[in-house]
Amino acid sequence: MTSTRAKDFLTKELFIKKNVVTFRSLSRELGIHVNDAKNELAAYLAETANTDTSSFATYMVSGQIAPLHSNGSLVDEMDVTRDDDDAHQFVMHTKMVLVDCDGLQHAKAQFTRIHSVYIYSLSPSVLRVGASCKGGPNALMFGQDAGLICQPTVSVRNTDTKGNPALNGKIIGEHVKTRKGLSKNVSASSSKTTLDARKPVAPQPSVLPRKLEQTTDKDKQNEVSKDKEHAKPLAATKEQRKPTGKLDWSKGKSKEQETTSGARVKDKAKPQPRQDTKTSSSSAKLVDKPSGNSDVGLQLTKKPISRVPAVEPKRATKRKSPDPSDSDVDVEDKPTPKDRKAMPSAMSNARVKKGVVVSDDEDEEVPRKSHKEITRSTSDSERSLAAMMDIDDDQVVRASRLSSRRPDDVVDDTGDEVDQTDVDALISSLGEEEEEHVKPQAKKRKSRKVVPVGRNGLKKRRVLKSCTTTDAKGYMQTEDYSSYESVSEEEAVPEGAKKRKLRKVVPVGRNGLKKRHVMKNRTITDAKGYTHTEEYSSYESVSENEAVEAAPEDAKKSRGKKKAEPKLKDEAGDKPVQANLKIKETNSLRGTKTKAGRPPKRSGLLNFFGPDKSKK
Amino acid sequence: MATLDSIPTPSCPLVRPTSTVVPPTDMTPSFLIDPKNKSYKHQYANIYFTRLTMLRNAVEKRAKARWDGLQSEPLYVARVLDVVKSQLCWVIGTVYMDMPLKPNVLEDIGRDHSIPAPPPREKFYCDEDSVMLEDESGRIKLVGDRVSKERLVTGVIVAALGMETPIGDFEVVDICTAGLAKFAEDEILGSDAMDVDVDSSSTQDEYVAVISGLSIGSPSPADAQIQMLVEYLTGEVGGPEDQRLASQITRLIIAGNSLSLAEYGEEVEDEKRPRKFGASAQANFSPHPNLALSAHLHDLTSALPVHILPGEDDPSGIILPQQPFPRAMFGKAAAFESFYCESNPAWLRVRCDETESSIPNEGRTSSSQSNHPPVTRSLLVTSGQPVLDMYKYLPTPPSSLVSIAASTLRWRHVAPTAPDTLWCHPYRDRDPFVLRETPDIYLVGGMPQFGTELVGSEDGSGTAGRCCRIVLVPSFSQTGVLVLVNMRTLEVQRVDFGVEGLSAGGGEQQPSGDDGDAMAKG
Repeated sequence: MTSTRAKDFLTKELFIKKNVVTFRSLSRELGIHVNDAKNELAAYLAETANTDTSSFATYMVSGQIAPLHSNGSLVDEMDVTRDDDDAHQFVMHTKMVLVDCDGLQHAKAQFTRIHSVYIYSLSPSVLRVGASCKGGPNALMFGQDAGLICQPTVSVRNTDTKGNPALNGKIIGEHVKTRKGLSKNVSASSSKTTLDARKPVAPQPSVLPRKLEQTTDKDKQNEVSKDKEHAKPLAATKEQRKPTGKLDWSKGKSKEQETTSGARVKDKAKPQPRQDTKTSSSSAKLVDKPSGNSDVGLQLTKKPISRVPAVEPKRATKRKSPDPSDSDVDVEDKPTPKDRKAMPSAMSNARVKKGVVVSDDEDEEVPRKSHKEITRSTSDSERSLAAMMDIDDDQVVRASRLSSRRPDDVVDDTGDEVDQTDVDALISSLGEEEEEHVKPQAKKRKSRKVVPVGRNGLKKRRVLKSCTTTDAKGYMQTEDYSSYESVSEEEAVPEGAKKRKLRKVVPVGRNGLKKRHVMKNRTITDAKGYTHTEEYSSYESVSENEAVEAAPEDAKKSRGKKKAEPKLKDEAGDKPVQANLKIKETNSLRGTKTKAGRPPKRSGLLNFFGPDKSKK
Repeated sequence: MATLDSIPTPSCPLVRPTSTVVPPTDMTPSFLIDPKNKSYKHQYANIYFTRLTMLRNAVEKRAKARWDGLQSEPLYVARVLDVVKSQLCWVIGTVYMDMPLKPNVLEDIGRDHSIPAPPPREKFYCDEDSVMLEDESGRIKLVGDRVSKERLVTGVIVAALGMETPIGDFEVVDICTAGLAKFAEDEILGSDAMDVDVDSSSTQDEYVAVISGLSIGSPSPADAQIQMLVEYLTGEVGGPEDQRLASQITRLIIAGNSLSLAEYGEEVEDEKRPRKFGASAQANFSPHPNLALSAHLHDLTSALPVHILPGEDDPSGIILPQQPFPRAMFGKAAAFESFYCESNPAWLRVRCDETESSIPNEGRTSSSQSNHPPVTRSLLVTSGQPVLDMYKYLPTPPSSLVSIAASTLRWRHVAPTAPDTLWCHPYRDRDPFVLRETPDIYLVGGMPQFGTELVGSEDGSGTAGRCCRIVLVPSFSQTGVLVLVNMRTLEVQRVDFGVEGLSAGGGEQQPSGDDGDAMAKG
């Protein structure tokens, strides 16, 4: 007997909505047990069997199949290993089969013992569940049809989430818990729940506190390290005097010293009295300034710390340079003031540009963007730099290689003398020396690099090299390092010319023409079997007649240069220009060379602030 | 029109027995790779070294016991290269199978890429295979009938008894493996593990259900079967008998391959992709199958605890041990405390407590007169990659997947082929695949067919009567098989889900016979 509710629902679903109704969806709809729903379906089907509104049933048959030990690979296995015990092989084989009404009898036949047969679902038309297997290998279609029984699942799920599916016969284990579902424990009665409850609790404390510890540790470490960072730069900035970019040069020595913390403390202690004496020696005007600034300075130091933490350690190491400087004070006097003066004036806007300028002549990878700026800024920055060049030329020549640290030491000490002469410079330099204005310095130091100057008065060139060593374990290690190499005069010329263009060193071919830059493709197969196409460019020498058409614009632009280059090549002994790097310059050569090199240099002069200008 | 018996509604609602996951013992290795150790810079040699050190003692002990009684007094040689010529001696080392057909990375590199790669071989073995035994000192070639009979694979630690031949090979008389490790859990007191009378004793027993290979998202979906499976596990489908059995399932383990590798139109793509050394095609999946899986999982987890392992086809790293799925993948199912994402080989310790025991870890009180004392079982679950990989090494009429799985227990190593042909994490100082303990239940997912065996130690030392239940869990989407393992008796039941009346369909019917033969011949 079917209840009216069930009947109404089924009729509506099957014949109006044309839906499949499974026992589950019926049970959810009516709020009855699934087994009742199964019976309801059967009753409905029986009632409507002979009416025109007949529906089609899909049956579920469950039962046992003959145990496995009589067939299958299992027995083979047992024969090989051991076949003493039946219990090993006895696998109870239950089967649930979904079948349409036509195949029902056949399906039943395969069972040795049938547990149940019931209507799984009713549908407005036949679900060809069993048809395909009769019809042949149309598995896909069959699968799709069978999939229709999943259709009502959506509504079942919806009801389940709202209601209590346990009432419908869903067997819910007590040990099923939602993640935060501690409230469920309250309703659960047996003691097992307490056992269950322990399980999630047990691992968690072990995990969570650890994590917490880690994080707190980390935090602590962070704090500590931050504190360290704070402390270090503070100490460093105090004693630091001249923020040159000479980190590279002082590093080697400072490292040794740093190993002992005692030394560091000493370092810290030393500059302090020096500052005092300095301030006392300076004019009265200034006396109040440092005292007032000391607080400000401290505050200011914090800013750069947060902004440029990477630089901080370097700054700390940097402070070693002043110490030796005390001993060799007297190298020079005058020129630095000029430098000093120029610096602060330029500091306001040209700081960054200066940095570019400085780095400009050490290698060619200057961003093209900055090129314009350089030309603009050179007017003031160049002056200062040219001044620096002068110093170096005159006095530092002999020392340039031996102790690269010297120039900045020198500058430091001359700074003391400047105090009396120039008030503006004095203030700013004082600021520098006593490290009150740390903020600008931090910037400056970063950007400005001092390039050692070679014997011939030309700035040395930074050259990237790599050396390959075999370490103790027998691994090859390739190390890249850069060093300064003196630049020959003749090289300076093409360099200047080059800079005007793309700043590329274009090798010169055997025939005296610039080699041509050629893009090439190369295809390689890597270890994984992929092929990579790699583009690379190389220079190819240009044949004479080719060159005419290739470089007409070159010829137009700088005829002189063109003339110069073949000459260069001759002297270099047929080597490309790059090979000339190491060729020492002779004086006789210089004269002719500079002349020859002049025309192309003119525009390049803005970038190239070599000694030529000063010597003119 | 068939007349149907009405199905009675159970008078009192069925109750699902509970079980709890017990934290692992110290001996149980963890397969989780924490970020700290997640480094791929180490060499794989470390694994072999660690493995040899970990298993050498066990092998040595067993070999001594085995060969001590011999009249010829075989000499134990510590290093493989130190074997004495024409004197009976035995050595311990790692097996290395030199197989010409094994995928070779150098061949892969040198291959002409304009020609599509040959499909991966089903088997590596051929007649020219040679078995080597190696340790830190070097390698020696093992010859003799005994070697081929032993059916070894790369990476197994064995002791070989024999004699060096004039040409420098090692003529093997006998081979000794580590044998079964001691069982992880104590023996159950007061329960007859071999109780044949299933119907009487198992009415209250807890079962663990295992499936593998739901392959949701495959072109030929098994939606109806999965639907039935879910309904079965939630206890709604079938008659009272079925429902009673279903109610005894205390948890579900999904041993890998829940999502399908195959995607719409992926075949075309697959052809283009060069096959890399030993790699199966990469997982390519859309979110949709995952949503379907999550929905099913939600249905399941709301009824019983679920453990899910990643498998070969799943969107997880291919390197073993595969790390657990992120919970958040599974939507609402993740909200359940009783939903566990496990690593691919995974150790589980499950305690079924029928009696109300208040002591947390000493659940096995022998004083309990209850028919169902609390029992703790350790389960080792894998998604099947190691066994499938070893399957390629061995000719399968003599060997079978079940025997291979059984061998891994005797070798005390779950995945001996791991660094060689099976991708694995480059562990530096440990090898978690070494079995320091034998599990009670060893579940292997992703198999082509169902199979089961009880493995006991041969030399009845201490663990006599103790057996490990090996179950090969076939892919559900192919076979529709759900496996139930009785937690107390270790007895296995198999439940098939099919959607047709005849045996002609998609492999639901009697898969063991046909498939087994096919596998055997393969």
